[in-house]
Amino acid sequence: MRRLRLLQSLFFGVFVLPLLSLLTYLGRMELPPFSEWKSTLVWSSIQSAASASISLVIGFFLALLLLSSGRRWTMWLMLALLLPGFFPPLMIVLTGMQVTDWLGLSSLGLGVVVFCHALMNVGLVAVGVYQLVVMRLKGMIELATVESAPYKMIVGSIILRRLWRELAILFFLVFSMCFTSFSIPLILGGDQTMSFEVLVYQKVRVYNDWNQALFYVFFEMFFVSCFIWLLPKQDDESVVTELLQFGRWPMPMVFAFCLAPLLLVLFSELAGVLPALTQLHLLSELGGHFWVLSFQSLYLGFAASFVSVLLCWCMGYLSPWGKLRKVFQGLSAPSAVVVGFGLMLLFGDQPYLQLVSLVLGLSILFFPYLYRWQLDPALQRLQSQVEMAKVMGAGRSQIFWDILRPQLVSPVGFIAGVMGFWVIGEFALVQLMTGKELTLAVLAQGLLERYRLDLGSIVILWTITLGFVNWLFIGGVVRVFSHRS
Amino acid sequence: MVNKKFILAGVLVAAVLVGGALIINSGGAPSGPRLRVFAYDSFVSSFGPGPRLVEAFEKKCQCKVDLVSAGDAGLILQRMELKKDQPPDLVIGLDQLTQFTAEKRFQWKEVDVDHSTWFERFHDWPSRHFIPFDWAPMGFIYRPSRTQPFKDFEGMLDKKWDDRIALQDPRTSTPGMQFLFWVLSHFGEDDGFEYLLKLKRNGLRFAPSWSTSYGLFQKGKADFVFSYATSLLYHRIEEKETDYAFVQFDGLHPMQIELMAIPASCVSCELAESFLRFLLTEEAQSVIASRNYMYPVRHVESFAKLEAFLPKVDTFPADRFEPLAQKQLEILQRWDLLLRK
Repeated sequence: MRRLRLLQSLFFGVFVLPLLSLLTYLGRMELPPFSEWKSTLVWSSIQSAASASISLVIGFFLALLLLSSGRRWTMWLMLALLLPGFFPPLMIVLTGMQVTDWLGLSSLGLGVVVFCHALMNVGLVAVGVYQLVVMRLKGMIELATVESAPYKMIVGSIILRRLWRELAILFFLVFSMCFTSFSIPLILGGDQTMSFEVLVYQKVRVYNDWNQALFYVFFEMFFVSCFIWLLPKQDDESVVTELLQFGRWPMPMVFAFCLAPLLLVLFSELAGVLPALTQLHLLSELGGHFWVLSFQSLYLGFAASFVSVLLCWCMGYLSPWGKLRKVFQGLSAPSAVVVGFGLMLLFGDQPYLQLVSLVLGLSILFFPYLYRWQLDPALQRLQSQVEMAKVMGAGRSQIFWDILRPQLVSPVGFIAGVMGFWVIGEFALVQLMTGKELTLAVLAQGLLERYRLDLGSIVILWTITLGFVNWLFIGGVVRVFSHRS
Repeated sequence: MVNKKFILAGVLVAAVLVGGALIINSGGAPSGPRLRVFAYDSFVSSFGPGPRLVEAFEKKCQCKVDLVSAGDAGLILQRMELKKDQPPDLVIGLDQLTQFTAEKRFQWKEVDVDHSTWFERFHDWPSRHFIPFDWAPMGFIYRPSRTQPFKDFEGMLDKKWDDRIALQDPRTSTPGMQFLFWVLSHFGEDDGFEYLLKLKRNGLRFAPSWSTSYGLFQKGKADFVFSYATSLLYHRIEEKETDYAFVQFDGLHPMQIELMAIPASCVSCELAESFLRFLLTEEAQSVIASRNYMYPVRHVESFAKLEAFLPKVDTFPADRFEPLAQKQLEILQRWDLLLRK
């Protein structure tokens, strides 16, 4: 038991390593002015609550459409819904600018930040709600349908009433992602500081004040943790993996709404890509370097995907049903600036260590979200099986190898795929930690800084393609690792 | 029993990870001296001047130059502070406003350079620590076919420009700082902040970086952007587009002068000095001017032909904003308060 506790503490320690390393750098703390925190807290909360509410309402509606879509199309529509959430923030930013342009609205400020966050998260909510309905309410809905219960009654009295806890959890998952978001509020927030991450960045960059920066990091982590720990407990029910068809929305409407977020991103991306076609020759100026960057992006994506698989398995092995689960549920990643500088202090500039620390840093940034989103629910569903195995005398290793690992293939593969996607599109931490143009996302960012906005769009499209390639590859690897004769 | 497929997959993944790391770091440790240079991101990027300059210099010096993309001026100083055990030999990308913060926080080496080959405006360059390598006047860029420009600060307050002028936040952008100081120096501090408040109340938003604000302008989301007069060159040369112009204000304009400096803690100090001198040669200045779209600090034959496309802009003397720059933090705190009003 003590060994387990030690391993659990070490595992948790990895995620707060950058913070610990920067703590050594702290001097005498002077609290930031109250007006500063109050205004940032107000703006962050409004921004995150608005983003999460809109995502939840639209996502719920899209889930109802998904439920009526029929077996043939459900998986494809789910993928289409999830994709905008995997795209690099830069691409979502460009979409936000384009859409506000079409609507004649301001390109900077609360509205566009909320729009971008909602665009990234509606799919996540829709798929989440769909899965919850299928897993928990399939039998009940089928029975109600046979009994000719009206559609509104099924939605209101069965889905909404039975799933309110899960909807609250989804709301806070999106809330915490928006609350700790960096690139979008930084680029589109205008002069209002709309997230603590941006404030941390300003404290470090402008005022060289690590004390206050770390104060805000801890405050933000504490705030998010409190929210998540206060959440209601999920019901633990058996898993149904079949599809469910419920409701009769017209198929063209189902397709139009479910594909809308993805098409919006792709169309606004194409609006940038078409004018850039005349500038394509500029990429040939890079020669082999473009392919080197493609390889390096893919490598980094694959390495981070693989590390995420290892982290998932460690999590499974370390029995995440007690305190460790509670801690990880409330854990939000510290900001990219803090992770970057913290790990830089620890690992130095030695090239191989730099690569290792970069992969570690990217995992620290993204894994907590993916854990809360996919791994935690999957592990909870297996808890009863694990308890049963323990009663029957199975050891920790046997439980892990024979129960958890084979049944976690799907969520772990998904986490690894998304992790790769996010890492391939990430530029801030990569540039901060390596000081090099290591990946295509950094190249794209460089193009945006040198007038070439449209050419940057083409590079971003290519990084997305690489994200898919990595997903397919890592999906295969996870399957091989998870089967055993 | 763990099956063969499992072991094979494990070996394969390990091989891919190790092999990839070897390939990525295949530059290897060079023989000979090594120079470590911190520069801002867009200088280091493939389309910036950095890679070409490094290639040219490495041929001359038989050395290896590590060009580190270290963010912007603020983050460069932060990185130096945190990694005191691995100092850079040369820093590229401070400007005449961040120079004072840099001076307060670190010691810098004096460098003697020959000013006589430089443009006249730099003949009396006062600092022996911070050496200019390019510059450009700043002001507003617009498209004449789409709009008629304002001529002064009062004109910017016209309601028709609500939300149509792309400006930068001085906390996170050095061009933004230039605009702030321009306003404060024109109106005086108190009246300047009053003016900025009026601009803000008109619905004007401040982007976090020059690239975001320029992106808004390029996408047609703004009619004016605060930028470099030399931005016109990009449109002229790369896009063959002539429909861009610079708004000439009645008074003088600010200018950004980009600087380089050698920290006193440098390791390869001599090499750093030769690289610094190399960056001031006509060969290097030509690369900087053409890749950075900025004026060189000395006469460059290839750039002289392009100057015909650029407006003649009267600028403040380089040290005009010095008193404001000296109390930069205080001014930024006041800016913070203004944003919360």
